[in-house]
Amino acid sequence: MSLFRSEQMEFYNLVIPRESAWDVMNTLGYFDSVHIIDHDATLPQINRPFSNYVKRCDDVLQKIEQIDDEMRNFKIEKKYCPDVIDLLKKRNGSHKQFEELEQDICKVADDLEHQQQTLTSLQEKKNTIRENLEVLRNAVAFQNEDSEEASLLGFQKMVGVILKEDELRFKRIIFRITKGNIHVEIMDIQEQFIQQDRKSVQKCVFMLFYPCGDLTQKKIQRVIESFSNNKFDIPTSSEQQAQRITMLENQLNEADQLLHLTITQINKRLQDLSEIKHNCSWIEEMRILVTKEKYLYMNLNMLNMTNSVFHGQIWLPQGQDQKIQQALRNLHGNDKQLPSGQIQEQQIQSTPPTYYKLNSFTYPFQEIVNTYGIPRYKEINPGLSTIITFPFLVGVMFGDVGHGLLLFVCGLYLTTEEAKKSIFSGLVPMRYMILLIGFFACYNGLIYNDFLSISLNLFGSCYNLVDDEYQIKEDCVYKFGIDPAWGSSTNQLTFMNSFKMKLAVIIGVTHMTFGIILKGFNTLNFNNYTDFFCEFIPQFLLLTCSFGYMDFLLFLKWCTKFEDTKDAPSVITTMIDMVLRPFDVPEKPLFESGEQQRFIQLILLTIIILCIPIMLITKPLIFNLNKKNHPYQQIPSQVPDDDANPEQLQNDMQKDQSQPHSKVCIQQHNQHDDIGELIVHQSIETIEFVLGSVSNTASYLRLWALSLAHSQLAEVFFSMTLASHIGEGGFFGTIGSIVQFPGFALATFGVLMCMDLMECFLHALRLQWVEFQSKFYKADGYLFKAYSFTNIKSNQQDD
Amino acid sequence: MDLCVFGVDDGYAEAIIRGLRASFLTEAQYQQMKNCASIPELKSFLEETDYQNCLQADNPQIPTSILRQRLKKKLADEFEYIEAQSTGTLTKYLFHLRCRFMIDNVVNMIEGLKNKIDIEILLSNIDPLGWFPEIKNIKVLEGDDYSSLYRDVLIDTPIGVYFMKFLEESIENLHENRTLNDIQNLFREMKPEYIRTSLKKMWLEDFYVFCEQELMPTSQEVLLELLKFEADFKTIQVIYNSIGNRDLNTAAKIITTRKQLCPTIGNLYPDCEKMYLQAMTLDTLREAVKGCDNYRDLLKDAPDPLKREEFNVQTKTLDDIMYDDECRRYALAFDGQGSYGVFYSYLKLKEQEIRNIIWLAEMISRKLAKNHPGWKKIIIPFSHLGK
Repeated sequence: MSLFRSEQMEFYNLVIPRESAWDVMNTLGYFDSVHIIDHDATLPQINRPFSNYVKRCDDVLQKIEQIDDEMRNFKIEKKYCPDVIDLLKKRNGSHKQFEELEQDICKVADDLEHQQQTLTSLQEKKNTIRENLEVLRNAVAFQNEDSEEASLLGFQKMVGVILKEDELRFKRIIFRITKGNIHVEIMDIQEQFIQQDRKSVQKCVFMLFYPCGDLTQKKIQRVIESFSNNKFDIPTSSEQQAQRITMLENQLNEADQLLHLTITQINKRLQDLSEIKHNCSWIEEMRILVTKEKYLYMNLNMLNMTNSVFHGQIWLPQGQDQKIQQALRNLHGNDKQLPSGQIQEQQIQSTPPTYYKLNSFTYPFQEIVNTYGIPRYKEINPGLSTIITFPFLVGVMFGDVGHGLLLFVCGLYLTTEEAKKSIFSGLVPMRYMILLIGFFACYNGLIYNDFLSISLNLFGSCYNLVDDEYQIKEDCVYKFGIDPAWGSSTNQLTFMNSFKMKLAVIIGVTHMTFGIILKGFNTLNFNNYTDFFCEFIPQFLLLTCSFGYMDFLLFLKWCTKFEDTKDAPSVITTMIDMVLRPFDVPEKPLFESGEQQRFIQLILLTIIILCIPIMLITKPLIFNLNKKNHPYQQIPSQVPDDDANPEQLQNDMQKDQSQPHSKVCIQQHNQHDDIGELIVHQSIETIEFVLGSVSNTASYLRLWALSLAHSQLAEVFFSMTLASHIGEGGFFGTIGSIVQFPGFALATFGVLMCMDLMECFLHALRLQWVEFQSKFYKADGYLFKAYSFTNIKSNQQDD
Repeated sequence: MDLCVFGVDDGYAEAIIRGLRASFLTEAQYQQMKNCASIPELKSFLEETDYQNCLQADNPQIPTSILRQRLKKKLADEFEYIEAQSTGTLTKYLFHLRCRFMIDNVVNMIEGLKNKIDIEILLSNIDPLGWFPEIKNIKVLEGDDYSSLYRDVLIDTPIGVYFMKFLEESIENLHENRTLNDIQNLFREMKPEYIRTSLKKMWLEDFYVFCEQELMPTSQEVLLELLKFEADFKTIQVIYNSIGNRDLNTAAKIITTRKQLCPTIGNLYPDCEKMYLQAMTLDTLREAVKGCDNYRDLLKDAPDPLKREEFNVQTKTLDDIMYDDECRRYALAFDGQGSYGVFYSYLKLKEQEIRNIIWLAEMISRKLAKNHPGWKKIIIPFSHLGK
């Protein structure tokens, strides 16, 4: 029953002395069943007692992230933790454990940072040496060619290194400053430089030749300074130059070696960190331990601290209290000195959360319901019936044996382990839904007798082909679904349309009636008899007497044998006449006699007409009478006395909840307002229901429309691609169908299996939410959020 | 009509801006910020807001200058992102917006270099919104030779045009037979603040023309209105600040200077020009602008500039009053649909928010009493709309 109505919740006070706060929370985290209520949701995190711990955890997590980044840079593989709970149980310590962890991680991170700094400074040094070397080499190379001449002519030269991307700007500014009286030579450096932020940049060597003159030289120097910081001096004699070059080359070699050494060191260090202990890498283990610590403190922060004792309120599902009390009692084992936490049962003061135990089968269906709204506490959960109705409705629209089978196979694949690793892993949570949709599509396909738009002759058709005319066999009924002979008849489409339309309405009315019946159960469960008699009964009668009667007529017509089809009465005309000309005797009665039909219809019509005022006015009337009898009714106090029977209280609570405009809240308003509000509300509800019963029934015709679209699309694709070639037969037919097959397969996959399935899904969703759930579903609950370490995920699962 | 096609090119950029609307601090959050007792507390509070990521790496005792830099960096990043998502006219438009910050940066650099402040410090203090590659090369500036600065460095930059116009105008104003020395003297005496105001005036006029010519009618309507008010505010500010200014000793000089600095757009120009140019007291200024909108009301509360010495931190200065009014206008423009006014308003409002945070940070770091009137001196974007 756990999915039908939400679990029974119990309300407890949680009292923890500060000394054992960590231990208690640590124990509670392994139970999957504590919902901690935040004592003041508006309180910012900073003002909470353990905010500094949370901050510390954040800092450590950031450090871990830094180390992790580094590992990614060095391309070191690590192993994610497969089982978080198992790991946490293994590494279960005390609250002092965090301090150790923090120290360890900080030390590692600091060491690493230190090494990083060494690395960057080495890199810097190497860059300077390289720049020097490049400048020198270029200068020397140039000198050999024609600088002799230049210096003879009284030219001076300047050499330096700038970023490649600045080249154009540099040239321009130099040109402007010297008014073009300069020669600029740019030589690219092939190898890229690695900057501090590890980006590699292209640099180039420039060489300027300009006529002597102090003024320009100063200016040029300023410009060069604004582009780069390094200065280079070039020895004059060629011997010195050669010496310098060899020296720089040696230095470069040294720097390279040092760099290499540091990199290996860092690499080794990081390798150590990825070493596998407790089934996963050290770094991942740390991440989970610290995350758990943060999670624990975040939840502890939800409690209220007074005088070094934490008070909090929690929800527990029924039957969990014994286990938790036991665990808390055993917490300090032999050490009796340390006080342990306690839980005390309290009377319920606010609406309990809605809690279901879900599994991978029920999950997607409950998700569909939750997207619309979380069920109210103890309300009938539409999620249970959704498991069958939803895939069935999709199946009605998607009805085709072939497509259904394909979908079923897809669902089967998704249930395997392999699917979790494939690109379809996103669909894995939906696997059972897909499986069921496939199954129901198959089932409906068998009823429609549709296999990729071809009818199957499974049980032997009841028609014989005699001289191009179909003749029916005596006393023969096709065993299941539609007789395949219909497939080749000329009025196949008309027949199928009328059949599917009727089917859609029958399904729709059944679905809606089911919703109304659920409403009846809800009102009974909450002991709300006003709603039971003033809403459920008239609504139920209204629907069954109008569209329920229409369904009955449909069945009646199917069961009656008409000699001449022209004599058959139309159901629609009958229905219209029932409302517009209730006193006339029907011309073509469906019943044995027209009199009888008129009598029955008159009764039904009277019931319908009576129902409307009952829905409209009785509820405000009863409410008003109640008010007059107790004009000074007290607002029940929020905190009940200790003697009150908790169960009694709970019942009261439920009563209150089940009436949105319950006495408690309404009495706080002005009397006139309440009555007016209630009347308006009630009339809106009534109008909505009466009009809704017509429009919702019509809305179910989408079942027919989509299944028609589906079958027609399938037929078009088949006839456009394969049909003619198969009909042709022989060699060319074979070749033709082989050539055309990819087109057929692609259209089937893309349009029917993807687009059409999506469309059917959406329409079924609408029927589920609007037509079905609006009949009974309040959807104003809130979800149970367990404080549980299972919420901690290792990084891999996040991705 | 243009509302139909606005979304084609600019819908995405506008949508991003609309999303960023959520990042504005709320009144409740300002209240919490006021309750912070120290800078680390303020920082950890900001870490819970949208400013989280830009502050995380800093040490808790963050100096206000760095804090400002971080906040501005975040704004610049957002702006850059939007710029990258924009096409066509919007790109040009956004670039125009940036120019205002570039002018500020250039003038700040010039000012800093004049006062012999180290270039590294100057570079670290520039507004990231107005960064452009040539800015490092302003270092080339020698003495007060702005013309060579323009010729060598700024000519290629987006604000080169304004700088050139500015130089031309200043030289034109000299007497007929000017010498090179005169020009140099002129530049030497020129205050950076004067350069800034003139450049911004030119930028404003240029931007106005751009909006008039290139934008679609809806954007035009919103933006021209905003720019007109901005121009008016500039005019009033110039007049207001020049009242009782000792550097401008003769009436003729005041009027020429005013004429140079007041934008030639807006509601006040040219109808009230004659009157405001000659306003020598606050009362005459009030009289001069009374014809337009609510300027008179604005000026009603402004303190008398002749008693400038008596101003203290409590005084609600003209700037504060104007920010308040502007903020209201921008918030309204932000909520308008299908116009480029959103981008302009967003930038302005975010600037205001940063100013608020920095102001509060200053107040906190000075440990002023909670009943100090300075705490009320913040203008919360969008707070006008609720009333």
